[in-house]
Amino acid sequence: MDNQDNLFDTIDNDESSYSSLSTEQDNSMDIYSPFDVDAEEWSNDDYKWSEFVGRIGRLPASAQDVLFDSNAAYSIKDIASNHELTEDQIKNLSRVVRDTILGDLVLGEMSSNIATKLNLSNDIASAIANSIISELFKVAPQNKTIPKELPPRPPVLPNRPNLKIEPDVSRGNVVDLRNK
Amino acid sequence: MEFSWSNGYFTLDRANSAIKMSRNFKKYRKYYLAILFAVILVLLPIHPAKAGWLAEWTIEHTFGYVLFIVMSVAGKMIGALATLLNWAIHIPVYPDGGIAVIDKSWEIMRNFANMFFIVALIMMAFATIFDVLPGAAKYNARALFGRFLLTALLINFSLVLGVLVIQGTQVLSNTFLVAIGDMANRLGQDLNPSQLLPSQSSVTAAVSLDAVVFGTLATLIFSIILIFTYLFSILTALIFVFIRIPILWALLIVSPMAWIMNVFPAGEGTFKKWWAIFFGWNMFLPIYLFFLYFGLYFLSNQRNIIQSIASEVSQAKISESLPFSLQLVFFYVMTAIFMIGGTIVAMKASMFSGTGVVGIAKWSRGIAAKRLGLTGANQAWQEKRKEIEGGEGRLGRIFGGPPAGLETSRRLLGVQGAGDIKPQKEFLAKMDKEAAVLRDQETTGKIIVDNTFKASALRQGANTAKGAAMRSILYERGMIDATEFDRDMAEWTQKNPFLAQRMSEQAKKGKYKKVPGKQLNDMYTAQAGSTYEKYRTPGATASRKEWFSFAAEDDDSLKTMDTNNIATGVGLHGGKDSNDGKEKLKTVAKKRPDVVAEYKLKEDGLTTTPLQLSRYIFKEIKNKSPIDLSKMLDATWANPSFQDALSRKASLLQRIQPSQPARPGKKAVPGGGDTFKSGLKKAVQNNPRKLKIARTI
Repeated sequence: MDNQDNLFDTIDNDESSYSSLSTEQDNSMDIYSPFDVDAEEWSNDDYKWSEFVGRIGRLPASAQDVLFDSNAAYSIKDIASNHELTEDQIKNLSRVVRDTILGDLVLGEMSSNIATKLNLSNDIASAIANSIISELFKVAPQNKTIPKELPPRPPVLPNRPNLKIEPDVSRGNVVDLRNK
Repeated sequence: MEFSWSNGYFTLDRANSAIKMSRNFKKYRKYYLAILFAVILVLLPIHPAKAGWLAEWTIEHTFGYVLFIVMSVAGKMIGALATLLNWAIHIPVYPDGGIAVIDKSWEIMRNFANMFFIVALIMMAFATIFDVLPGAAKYNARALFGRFLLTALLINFSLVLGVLVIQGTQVLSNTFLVAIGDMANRLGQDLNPSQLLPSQSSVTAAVSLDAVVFGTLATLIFSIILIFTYLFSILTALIFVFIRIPILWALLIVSPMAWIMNVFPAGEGTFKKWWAIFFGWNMFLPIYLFFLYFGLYFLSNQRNIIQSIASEVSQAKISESLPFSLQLVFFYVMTAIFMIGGTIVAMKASMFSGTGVVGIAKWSRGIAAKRLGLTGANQAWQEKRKEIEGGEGRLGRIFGGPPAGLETSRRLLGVQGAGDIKPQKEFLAKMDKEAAVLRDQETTGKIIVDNTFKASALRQGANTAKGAAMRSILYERGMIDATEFDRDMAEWTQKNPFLAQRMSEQAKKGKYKKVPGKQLNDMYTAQAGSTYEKYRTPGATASRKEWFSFAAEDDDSLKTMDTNNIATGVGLHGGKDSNDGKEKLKTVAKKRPDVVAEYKLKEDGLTTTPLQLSRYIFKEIKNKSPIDLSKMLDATWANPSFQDALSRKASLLQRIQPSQPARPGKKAVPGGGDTFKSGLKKAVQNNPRKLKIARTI
């Protein structure tokens, strides 16, 4: 962390070092990102973009994590490379993941969707779907810890106290304490 | 149907007016008869009176007897009443041995009142357990226990305390009673209206004329009125002197109930009222006796007065001096005023205004203090104390010296010395008091802070305590609009910088709701040649600082803030190198790092190129998290240099921590830049414009 701070200080104090930092946009990972795969195209259309952003905003936080997380893009990249997918197939895979997260596609039909959209055999599609689910959607079920023991039973309320008035106690409202 | 005299008939209108006239005659018949009688008397032929001796004797003696009877009856009654009054004022309300009926009745009341202690305990217990209930705090043990114990103790002494008060006032009464002696005798001896009657000893022309003219008048009118005045004044006094005794007895008997009421917050008023009435009835007698004593003292010195009037009148010629009887009448009227006035004052000052006793004591104390110069001395001491506390003057310097920066602040604020500051601060204190009253009134629902309240506030002058207090509430609620704000501030920064600063703080609480950020920026900047140049005065400095402090955190102001605004604002806070100035720059940089970077660039004397600006922005954002960056304003995100700085930050982070490709048994790991970008996208996901920009870095 200290090294990072030192480097930051060096860079901003030295104009030439600062100017050497690249400002080139690296879009190479866009095809693997469920968010970025069509974002460039949609961002040119304000209406489409606003609608897309609005839909993301309504998703639960865990689903948003999958959309934006750079780990998710790297996982898709791994899966694609394992199955030797083409660029178009990779894009379609990212789209299937995105649409599933957005709820346009059903999670249970991911395998058939992949087979259809990527034009793959059912076996490969099923393997990719399993990988996707285990890599990208693993967070949700794991978070749900099933309690091993039943919760403790609520304490049993004691029996109601006996409110019967003893015969030697005055039933009058005013108790004359001075005689006690 | 038309009637008229011309055709030989009455008109309807004339018939009505005739009926009305007849009614009026009935109504004013007695006046008409009196006028008629007077006219007849005037028109009767004038002849010298030749009444016989019998008629003369009858008139003279009838009149004389009537006068004699009236005067004798009134005199006898005064005598009887004076004797009764003399006896009544000497009756002890509570004699030394006690009064059986009071003692026993009081015991019954005390025993009854004791039961309420149990009620009080239960109430306290509930209020303590359910302390969260609104209003329960007043009744909980912490609030009531002290009073509970005190009352439990003192309720047993309520009779003794009451008797103590009675005996205390009796001591006062005794002072006058001893001085007066036998009141009935004194009144009888000194009050002699027969002196008003004409006498045979009238020797001079003036006395003779007085005896003829004024003597007769006085006999007929003044002596009767006067004698009845004395009669009623003594009768009233007697009634009150009598009834005070059973009333005081009754109050003594119920005293335990009054004490028990003191335990309950709701009964506190009743307890105080009991004391007020008790004190009032006790104080009646001493106050009345004081005036009676004064009246009798005045009357006892009448011999001197009569002698001096007589000597003046006997040597005087006609029309040179006031007649003897008239002067004497005046003297008796004065005595009557003292006696009647005394009764009225005693009634007013005691039982009819329970707190009157306290009020009179305060008034007399105030007068005495004023006369002795104590008020002046106290005020002088208070002023000196404040001076010492403020670190001013010789003593102020000895006891700690002036607060740091006082002189500098005074110079900055354009304040000449304590003489200028004091009334301004006093005005502030007065305004605070008024505002507190208004808030209480709002809490109790007596006033509502709405547009009607605002209209009323604006009608009041901004420099009156009430007007300022009302405005203070409006400022706090953000109900003052831009024009009103500018108008008020222009006045206050000139006349009372403390007030202007206080109101600016109040406006901050209301978030300057109706004042546009741009106006606020222009106001503290007070650019020469602008509308707001008027704030370029020492008196406005403190307020301008307040305005900038608010603007530095307000999105609406930050949106339009430029380097000129920042330069002025930071300058007001001591410049960019002062701690205060640095803090303010940091605050602005949280939302507008681009403007702060530009300001610093200029301060460093560098040319503003896109790369330089990007580098300076980078300095501001290098340690910012994606969440912090997402909070920066749209105006900042739209700045290309800011976007450039973000890209370079991502690039640098990627260089520091490059991404790791997947290896057998190990998954791919994203680089620092990748993580930064994805974090940024997630942080700005709710803002389409920022998200679009975050995608491109």
